[in-house]
Amino acid sequence: MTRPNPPRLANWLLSLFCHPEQVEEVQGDLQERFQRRASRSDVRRAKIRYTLEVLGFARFLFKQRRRPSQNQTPIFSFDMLTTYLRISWRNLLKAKGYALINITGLMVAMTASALIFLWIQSELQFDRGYRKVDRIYQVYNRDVFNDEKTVWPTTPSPLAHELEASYPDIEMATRYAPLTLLLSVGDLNSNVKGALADPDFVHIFDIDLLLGSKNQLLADAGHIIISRRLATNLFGTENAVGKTIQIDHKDNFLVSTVMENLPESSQFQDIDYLIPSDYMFKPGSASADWTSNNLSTFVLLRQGAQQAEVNQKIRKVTARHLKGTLDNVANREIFLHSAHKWHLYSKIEKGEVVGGGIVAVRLFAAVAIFILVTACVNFVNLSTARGEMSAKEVGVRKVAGAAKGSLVLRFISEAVLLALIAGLLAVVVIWAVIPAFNELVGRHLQLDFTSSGFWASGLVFVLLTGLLAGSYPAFVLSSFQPAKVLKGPYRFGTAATPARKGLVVLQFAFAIVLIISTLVIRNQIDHAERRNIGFNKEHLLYAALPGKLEMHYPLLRDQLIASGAVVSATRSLGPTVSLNTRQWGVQFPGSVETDKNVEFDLFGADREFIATTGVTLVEGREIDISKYPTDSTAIMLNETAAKAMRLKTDQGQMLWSSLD
Amino acid sequence: MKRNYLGEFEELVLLTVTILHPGAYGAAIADEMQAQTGRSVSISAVHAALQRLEEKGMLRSAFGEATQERGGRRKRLFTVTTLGGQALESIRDMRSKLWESIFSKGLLVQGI
Repeated sequence: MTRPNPPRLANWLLSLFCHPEQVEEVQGDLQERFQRRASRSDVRRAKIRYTLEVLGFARFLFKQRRRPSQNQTPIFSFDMLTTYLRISWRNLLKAKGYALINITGLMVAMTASALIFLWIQSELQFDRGYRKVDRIYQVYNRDVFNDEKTVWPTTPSPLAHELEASYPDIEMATRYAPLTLLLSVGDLNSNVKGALADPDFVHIFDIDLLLGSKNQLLADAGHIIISRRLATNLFGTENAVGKTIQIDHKDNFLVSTVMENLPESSQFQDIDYLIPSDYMFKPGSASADWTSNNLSTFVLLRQGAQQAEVNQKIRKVTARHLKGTLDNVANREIFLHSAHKWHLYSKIEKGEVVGGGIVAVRLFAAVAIFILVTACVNFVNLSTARGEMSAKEVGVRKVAGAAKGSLVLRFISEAVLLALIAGLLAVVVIWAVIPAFNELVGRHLQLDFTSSGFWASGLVFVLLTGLLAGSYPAFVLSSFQPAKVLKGPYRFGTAATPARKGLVVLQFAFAIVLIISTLVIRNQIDHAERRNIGFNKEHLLYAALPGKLEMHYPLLRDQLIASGAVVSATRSLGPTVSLNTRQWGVQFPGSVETDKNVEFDLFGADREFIATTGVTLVEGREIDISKYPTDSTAIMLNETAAKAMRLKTDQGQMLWSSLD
Repeated sequence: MKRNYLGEFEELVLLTVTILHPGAYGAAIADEMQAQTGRSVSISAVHAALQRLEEKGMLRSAFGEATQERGGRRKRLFTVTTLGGQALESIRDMRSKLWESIFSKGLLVQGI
């Protein structure tokens, strides 16, 4: 007589409910009861009872079995780990070529991604190192022109004082405008970058004052604060307090204070002196009224003040003052832009301050991870391809009773060891190339060997790389069947082959993408350097005319030509690539009302502009007041401007501009 | 004396294991408990109790022989440990002490 069998579905459920170790005893007990019932009454009812009893075991689902086990070897032990490392080291020495390729691959990738991460770190810290960074803001302007919302970071000169005086939420405010001036001490002349600022600048950014007066900063018109660096450069000593510096050969400034060099990872890093804002923005002058937006305003909020609330309060400050002067101030407003966002989140798009540098930071983070992953994939391929070497070892270890877990640990520890060696080499390489890298990115990155954070992050980096590179091979290698690998020549895993092929494809794809991107960028830079920009930039030099030099320009020019070094020279508003004046409201023959909205960049130049810069003349002649006195009101248009004005013949037309 | 708490059902299981020694395994325990107490005992509850008692260290277990009606599966045979024995005894002592005090006061005679 064949015995009836319990329902299979119930057995399957039981295997879900119980721990695998427990299934045997439980199923035995249930089967025993089932057989007894089946022989006593009918099989169908026995089956139902069996199923019900199985369902009772659902309670085991939520209970981990914790029967104290007798003979289990621990997967992790310090002794085994040292053994594994020793054997890994021997394997390394045995296959030197393989080790070399593997370690070099990892090392190059680690160097590249570590450099990128260093750069990212410096980007993230840039302009955020101020002690009161959480409360520092720059005031931005917003308005709508031609139905287009526009945001710009410069503000009127009187704004800082008004904000500080009338809004208790604003603890301090300063004007700020960087500029380059000619500084002279005795015979020493030097163009140096500095800034116009107000006394609060020093307090907002917590600038260290080393020597001299610490009160009454920038309060006196003739006072200058110089950096330690500039003091040494100009006077050969840091102690320059009380000495005199002449600016632009006309104004004498007294060094009131020597300050520490401004922080390297900030927008002020190359500012070497501060002079009172009023020097350029004289109260009462046009540049110091509410219509000119020509400097930055930084504010320090009172502790606890909320940016959004302050924004609401100060929104219309400039609009109030411009009412009556400008046609329409309905949309003119100002708002605060947090110092946290200055460096990476200051891109202006469609009238909003959006991302910016952060995009590049994210992009490079992705590139760094790509590079590292590629190296790890390379590592995986190399170590699985060498699987036959490890097969015997795995077989013997398994026969001797090694658990899969301990074999996984064995191979991961080997990968981590390789990653550690690669990491140490990478540190050396980074240390060697970092000066060149700094040159490339224009930063002062450095490895801080004394900081524990550096070593900790390095260790985490190495461990992550080791785990990433080592885990797949570890699981593949440790799953070899001892019976198969010990019997004879073992054909390495058909199962692992597709995965390996996939990884090779992935690795090649990464590499190709990176190489193509590099080539594209190089071509782009090449193109930017070589494309025709409308003037001849070879042997073209620009120098500012400081002080009284401008008055003696004809003499200067004659002497330059006479010296033989200069072929031709012209006087201009600035270098041809920097157009700083923009005009709207221009009227011309046939212009309509909407043409007033077209903005034209203005540039001023003297005779020989064409000969000096190599600009091609399409039609007409160049401006030359010495030959044609009426040229004082002459204008030269470029092709784009002529097109914008819809002019057929470019000469002899009258233009009229709404402003002087 | 610090003692693990022992539920009523657990106490019954522990006693039954002692009775059936050395042949105490899940199905047999369930059958015996049903026979002794007359109440229906679910096999999964017995297994759960056995597992708890083993975790508490009052039982230990080992695989026994396989039989045909079990489909060739082995039994897990349970034995009461010293701790389990002590636990049972202390429960009995405590109960007898309580009963003695009831008798000494003649409470039963008064019909409580």
